[in-house]
Amino acid sequence: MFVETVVLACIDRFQGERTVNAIYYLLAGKMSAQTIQDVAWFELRPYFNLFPGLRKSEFAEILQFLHKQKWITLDRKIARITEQGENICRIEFQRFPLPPHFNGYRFHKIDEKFWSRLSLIVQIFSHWAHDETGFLPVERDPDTQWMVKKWLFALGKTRSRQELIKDCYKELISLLKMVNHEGLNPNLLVYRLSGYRKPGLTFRQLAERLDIDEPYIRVLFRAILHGMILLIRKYPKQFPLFASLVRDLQQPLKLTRSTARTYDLLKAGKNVTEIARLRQLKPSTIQDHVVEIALMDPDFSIDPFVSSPLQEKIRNVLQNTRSRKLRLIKGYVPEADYFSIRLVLASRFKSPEKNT
Amino acid sequence: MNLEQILFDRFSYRSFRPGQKEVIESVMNGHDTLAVLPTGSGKSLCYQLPGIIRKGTTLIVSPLLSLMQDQVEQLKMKGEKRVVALNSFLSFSERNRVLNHITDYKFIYVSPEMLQNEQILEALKRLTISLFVVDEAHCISQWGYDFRPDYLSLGTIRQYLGDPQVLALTATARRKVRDDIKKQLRIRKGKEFIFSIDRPNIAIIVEKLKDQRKKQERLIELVKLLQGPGVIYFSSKKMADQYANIFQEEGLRAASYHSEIDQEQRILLQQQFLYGELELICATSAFGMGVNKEDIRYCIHYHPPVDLESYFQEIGRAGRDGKNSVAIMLYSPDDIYIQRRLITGELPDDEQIKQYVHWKMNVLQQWGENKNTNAPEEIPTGFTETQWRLLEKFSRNINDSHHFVKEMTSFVTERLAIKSKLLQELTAWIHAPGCRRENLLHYFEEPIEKHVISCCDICGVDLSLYYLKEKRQAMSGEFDWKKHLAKLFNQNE
Ligand SMILES: [Zn+2]
Repeated sequence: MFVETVVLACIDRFQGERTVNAIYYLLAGKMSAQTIQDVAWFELRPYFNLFPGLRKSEFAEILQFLHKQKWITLDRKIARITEQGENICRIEFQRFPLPPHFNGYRFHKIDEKFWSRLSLIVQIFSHWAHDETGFLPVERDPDTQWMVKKWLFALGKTRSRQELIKDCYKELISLLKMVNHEGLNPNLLVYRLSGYRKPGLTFRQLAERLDIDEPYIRVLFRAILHGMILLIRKYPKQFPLFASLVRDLQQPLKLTRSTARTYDLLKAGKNVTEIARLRQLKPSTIQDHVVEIALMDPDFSIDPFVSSPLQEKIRNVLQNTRSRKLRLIKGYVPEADYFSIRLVLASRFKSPEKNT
Repeated sequence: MNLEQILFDRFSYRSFRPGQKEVIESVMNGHDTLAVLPTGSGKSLCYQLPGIIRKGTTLIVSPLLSLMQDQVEQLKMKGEKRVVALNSFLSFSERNRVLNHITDYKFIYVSPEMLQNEQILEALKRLTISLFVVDEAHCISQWGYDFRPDYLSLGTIRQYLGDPQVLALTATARRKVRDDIKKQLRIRKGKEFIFSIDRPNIAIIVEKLKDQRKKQERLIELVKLLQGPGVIYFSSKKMADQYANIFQEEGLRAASYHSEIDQEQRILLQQQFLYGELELICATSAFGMGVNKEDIRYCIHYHPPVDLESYFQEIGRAGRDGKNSVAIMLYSPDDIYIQRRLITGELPDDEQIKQYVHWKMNVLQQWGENKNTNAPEEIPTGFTETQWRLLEKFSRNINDSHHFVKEMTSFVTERLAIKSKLLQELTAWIHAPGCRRENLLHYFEEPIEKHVISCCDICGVDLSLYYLKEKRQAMSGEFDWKKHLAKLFNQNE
């Protein structure tokens, strides 16, 4: 039921202003400017990439199911939630809420990589700890194997294997204790790990043993990874081994080529009008680029473009209206131009830690 | 050169298994070689050993991605690190890294799809290939089990790579298939080794039941009676899931295994099975290749497969340790419909071919444009993955839609005819009088040599020999992450 509940919640947020395809791309984690914009505008950040492997056919089945239950209405590609649907959605979310720390956008692909590394090093250490050197790794990604090899080689110069195992174990325990403290269940991570003569459990097996939906288990599991990465980055001195393991895990900035050039010029101190003249493009095109940058780059500040009081005003309006039709919003803040409104909308997507 | 010494030094085996030494000697003497060795006989050693001691690169064409990965890891475990698998799992950057350092590798595993890629062929051309290995060589023949159209170009590719020495390996190949292999791979002289594929320690049983309901009852009864570990083959993923649940509720440590489960989870299931944490796998035919479990005690076919080659491959996963094992096929007359559906389901029908052309025209605007650039994100509904791959493969080389429809249709017609024939042979075997083993070996053109004691249900088998001997282990208890982590790291909690 978890996937169904989430789809209901998304339909509710979109208010019929986007097609069901937009929901699919959002949940499956499509990294396009359009999807990211939807996520920012409709405050759907927690839902981005919630179900990475979701197939279109499965999604279609879910919509049909929701429709059959009369929880949504479906007109061509536009879905709207019914009152019954709203109730179901609320009740289900109470039973199975989105876990703390989950951030599918921020950790897109990073969580996968982190898990590959973590599961490989634990498997290696576990075999070393049992005096066994040869084994079949569960993790087959060549990039990960390469990275871990280099990592172990570098660490091998500073301490013995036994010390390394002990240090890693200690860091892992205290990390998981902290994660546990914040309401996440470390069993979901630890029992997925493979070690000496102890293969990990599959998601389905965990789901069966705990009697929880498999998609929800997967989300909880990733929330633990997200929580771990956040903690490691926040307290790198406390977790030196893990800090060195996640250091290079950064999200590459995905901008269209033209936008990237605009960004370079912005960084060089040029303003929108100057860039438009330099690049012989319309100022509105450059504005589009700026909005895209505001969406995609969490470190980008919109302060030079929109004054703080105006930002405040627009945010207030956004909080009180659920529609994301620009014309409607402008009706409430006539002094703002569309560019400012779009920038504020885009920037709502940023600094995820503060907003979750 | 003492092969036994090398075997021990590099692979830590004390002696060769039947067939291995003959094949390795033939390879070392420079002959093109075709070897038919039974499953579980250590086929891979036949190229790994020569590859390690000879100069040059060994190129291995293998159709099964997971198998390829396993072999790479196994070679690495044996201390040979200069090994890589070129397949669709590699990311773009990884692939480039490998291709730029291609001459560093001693063993290169490659999927047949990858060999269609020009960049990869160019890179491979830079190598001195000492041996061109074609694993699962029966895939080259329409008459073989698991025919793969991509294999048909291997002969041309071999020529392109400068005609390196060939080693073709397979576990099942009748005369017809062997002739196809030699023709396609352009083996003119060369040596052929055929070893008995009989597995006398596996009793062969067919139980005929009235309908699916009776089969269901019998299956549950059998699973409770038999000594595991066991594998049950189903024709659909859904049924495999369903029965895995039923058996779990009966208190068995069971899991389902099929192609919809992602790679990481599949590896976990394989390892759990290997280490005895699972006693029963409910599988589709996706299970088996690359699973090096020696002590599978029984194999049940809830649905019969579509031909005798598949059947033989699947039961061959039991009893690799040489101990007594049993293969039981549950058969009811209505199974024929399921089998027919399996056969036709892999191939696109007329309507789907039309639908595909329509879709492709829309995507490309014009048939004949560069087709590779427009890879679809997702297969449109109504096609299976196998159907889609086939359509894409055919459309790649044909620049005219009418020509495409014609070629595709005639290919499908031919495949259906062959598959129906193979299905008929399987059905005939099920109903044939006389010893099942003898009939099966006869199909593979092999005379029966030894008298087998627990042979088949016709000759008479005491099924209670295979009944449960040990007490069933219960599922593991409560979760305790601290304890578990301490165990993994071998530390005091
Ligand atoms: Zn017999």
